[in-house]
Amino acid sequence: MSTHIVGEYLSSLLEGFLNSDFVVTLIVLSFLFHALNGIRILILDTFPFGDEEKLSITALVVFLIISVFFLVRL
Amino acid sequence: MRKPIGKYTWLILRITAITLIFFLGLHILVQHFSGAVGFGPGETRFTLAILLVIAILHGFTGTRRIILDFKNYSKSFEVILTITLLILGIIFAVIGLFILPSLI
Repeated sequence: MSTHIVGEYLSSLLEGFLNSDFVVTLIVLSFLFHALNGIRILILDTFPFGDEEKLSITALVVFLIISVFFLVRL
Repeated sequence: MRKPIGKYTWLILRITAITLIFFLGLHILVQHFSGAVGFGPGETRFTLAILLVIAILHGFTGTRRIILDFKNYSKSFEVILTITLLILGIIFAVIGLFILPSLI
């Protein structure tokens, strides 16, 4: 019985944690960072003559702009 | 010089990445930022299941690539790693597909 109660408490704690604004934002921003880095690599693979530094800075600026947008909306 | 990690995994990573950038981005926008409850427009259990499988495929292919990128492992290690990750991926996908209907 007590194991059941502890299990229920832990699952509600986990559910609350995963649904919290903080965790959702963290997941979204991680996805965004990973996606932008992936796009950057795809572009550099396709056009090897491109300016890597400029592209990296552009990706970082786009990430920061969208991050601010999400954080403001939160 | 390191041996190439594999052209098929390279291709799988690219294709799943492009798919995920579009569909997962749309899914996150609809599910978490539009205030919609339940399925978003055009979303069904089937499309979410496909999205889950693609995400798992991308994740485990990427993990395999990262591990093999550390140093020149033997061919047998590569095979064992691939099979292990494949089994883990199938287990994750089955768990996810079983849980999916109860989530929405």
